[in-house]
Amino acid sequence: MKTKFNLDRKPLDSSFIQSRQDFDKVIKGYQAMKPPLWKNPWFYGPVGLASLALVLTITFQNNFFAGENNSTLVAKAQNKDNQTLEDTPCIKSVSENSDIPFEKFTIDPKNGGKVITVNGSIIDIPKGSLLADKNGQVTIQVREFADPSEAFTAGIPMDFEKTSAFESGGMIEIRGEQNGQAISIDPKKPIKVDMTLQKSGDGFKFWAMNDKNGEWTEYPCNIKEVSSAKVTTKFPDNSKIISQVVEIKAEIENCEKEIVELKKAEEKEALIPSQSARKLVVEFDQGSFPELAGYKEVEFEYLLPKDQTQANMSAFKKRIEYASSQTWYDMDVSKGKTDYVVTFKNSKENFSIPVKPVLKGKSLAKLDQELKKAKADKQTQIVKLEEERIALLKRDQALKLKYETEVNDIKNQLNSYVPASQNQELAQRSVASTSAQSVNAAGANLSNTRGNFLTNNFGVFNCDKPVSYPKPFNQPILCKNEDGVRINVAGAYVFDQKQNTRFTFGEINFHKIQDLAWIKRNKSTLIVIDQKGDLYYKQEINDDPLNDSAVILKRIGRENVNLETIQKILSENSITA
Amino acid sequence: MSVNPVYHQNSAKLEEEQGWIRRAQKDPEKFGPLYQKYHEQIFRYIYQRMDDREQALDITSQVFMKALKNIKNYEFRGLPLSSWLYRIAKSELYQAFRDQKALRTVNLETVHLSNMVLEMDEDQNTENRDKLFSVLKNLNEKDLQLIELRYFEKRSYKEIGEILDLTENNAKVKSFRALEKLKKYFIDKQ
Repeated sequence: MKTKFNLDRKPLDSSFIQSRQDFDKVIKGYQAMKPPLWKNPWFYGPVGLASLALVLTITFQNNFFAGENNSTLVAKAQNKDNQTLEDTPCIKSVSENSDIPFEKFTIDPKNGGKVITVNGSIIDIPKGSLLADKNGQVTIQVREFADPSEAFTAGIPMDFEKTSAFESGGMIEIRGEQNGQAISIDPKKPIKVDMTLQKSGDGFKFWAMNDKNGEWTEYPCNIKEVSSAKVTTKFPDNSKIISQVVEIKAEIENCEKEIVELKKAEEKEALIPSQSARKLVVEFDQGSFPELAGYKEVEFEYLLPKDQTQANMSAFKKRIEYASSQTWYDMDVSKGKTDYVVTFKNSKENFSIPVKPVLKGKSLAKLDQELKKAKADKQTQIVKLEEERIALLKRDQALKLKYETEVNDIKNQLNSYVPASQNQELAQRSVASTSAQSVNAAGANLSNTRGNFLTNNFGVFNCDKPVSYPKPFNQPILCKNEDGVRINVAGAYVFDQKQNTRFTFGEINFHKIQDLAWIKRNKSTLIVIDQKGDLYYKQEINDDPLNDSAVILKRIGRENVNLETIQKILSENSITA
Repeated sequence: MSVNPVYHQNSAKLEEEQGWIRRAQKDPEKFGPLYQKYHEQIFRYIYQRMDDREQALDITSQVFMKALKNIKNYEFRGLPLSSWLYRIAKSELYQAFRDQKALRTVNLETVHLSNMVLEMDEDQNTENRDKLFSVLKNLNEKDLQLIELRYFEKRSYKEIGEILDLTENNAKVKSFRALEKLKKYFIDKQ
């Protein structure tokens, strides 16, 4: 390594260094370094499960879910931001920043169980149906796609037999895993799914997707209207309460830990010098004695014998006189099991005498005063922490009460609104569990159209009507940005709002970019993703292309591509990117 | 022998620091007080070993980013956070040298040379100082680091051990050997 030597470089002033402190820059840099949590394999592995188990343990220990019947339903821990599963090969979310989160349910594979999703879909898992280690828990992960923007964000293929795209009436993805490994279903004991559908009717059929190639095949399902009664029950979102309670518990634990540490902290004795003992001037390395690090100036004095008989004192004096009379070339202080020892060294011998560290130049009165002040400060700190702890416990209780009130409201709502044929069962489940499953919906509606099917495979299921692709225009469409520069298109998506269908064009699909087209009489929105992942869009493309066969699209940087943005594009006439 | 006052803290300061660390482990944005406390000394450690001030500031930022990234794994072992930060700083600094982004520089003052000449039981005159300055260049990087930390920066053996990942005793022995080597070069030059 090449090394340069500088002599007497101009020193830098502290004020300059302080002026260059920039914690925001550090935080931004750190955030840029941090990989998304869902990319971390540990999230899906033992740590993920351990965290889930910890949350559940805390919740159960505090009787949070009062009166739960574990055999019917098992509690769910929800953190929507962190619930993205590793997608199957043909399902790739449109952006790294955003995916549709899974709801997670923990099931004991020995006993099976039933889970109810936020949309009111019910999955009934018979005993022994899940082929997994019977001594462990299984996580069932479910997500439903309520509209084209969600299916698009998640990257679910929506083409059928190369000529059509699906108009969706409801789609559900169900996965099962144990310790981060996918599990399967016993073919003799299929699971039963009672799925909430958004739409059904003429032309709608039920399909299952092949995970490997994204192709859909027809799948047996009993679609029915269970009641004509319109169900509008809205479930409150309790996930915030759950996370608040967990946070408060962590704070309480920290508080308690700090109190314990403060109480047990050893009160260091002041190193009070004796009035008459002889001092010894020794250079020593304070770093060698961490217990002395708190004291600014320490020196040593000879340690008088414990038993100060005449004989002992005489021997003690002789040793000191001997030490004083000899020529030593080095002195070293060390610590034995209890006492400090100074060792004098010369070429003939090493001569040791026990010593005691004392504070330099301190009066007894001043030391006593300092000790009292330190004790008082510590006591004040303990009292403050105790008060903080009590306040947190109160907040914890209040949140639990709020949660229980909400649960009771749900029970009442379920009894009032659920269609008659399901009323009893749903209400029973809800009462039995009072858990997150049945109440953990954020503004979801119960639909009165249901699809009942059995499956012995996890995967994606869909109630859809195939809609034919529009014929290509005479000339290929050019996609340009607002500066008139041609976009390097990787994929183009036409959202036909009249037919509630997404037509896909590009290298990932059978339909090539040059075939890009739409039905002009229908209201459609065009979304294009370029090779870098930036998104471009144009709403109401009905009259396009213009004379030069070009469509001008607005740009949204890849960092802003997420479900919310896509929903806005598909539902509003304008958007601020 | 003087010691680095920032390295040695009393128990109240260490406890206060532990509180900051616990909060930062929960929320990295709460690392602010630790950043303010240690920014200058980490910067000085880095700048002491290189020539470019702006680059030293960049590497300092990089050290704190790494610290934020790993703060969750930090365990208190009775030493202030600075020893852990120094280890990160050393690693980042030498990475910059390896990547040839920065030039390894030894910055020393005349007073350091005078003290070292005295330490070698030689006359404290300009000639000897110049000679010492010249023989320092014969030391290898490891010995140079030890001489820098011990005799130019006046750090304790415990702290040197923490920074260089050595035991305190080993740091002491190695520093002594480095000094002996330097003495030999010095005498040979006469």
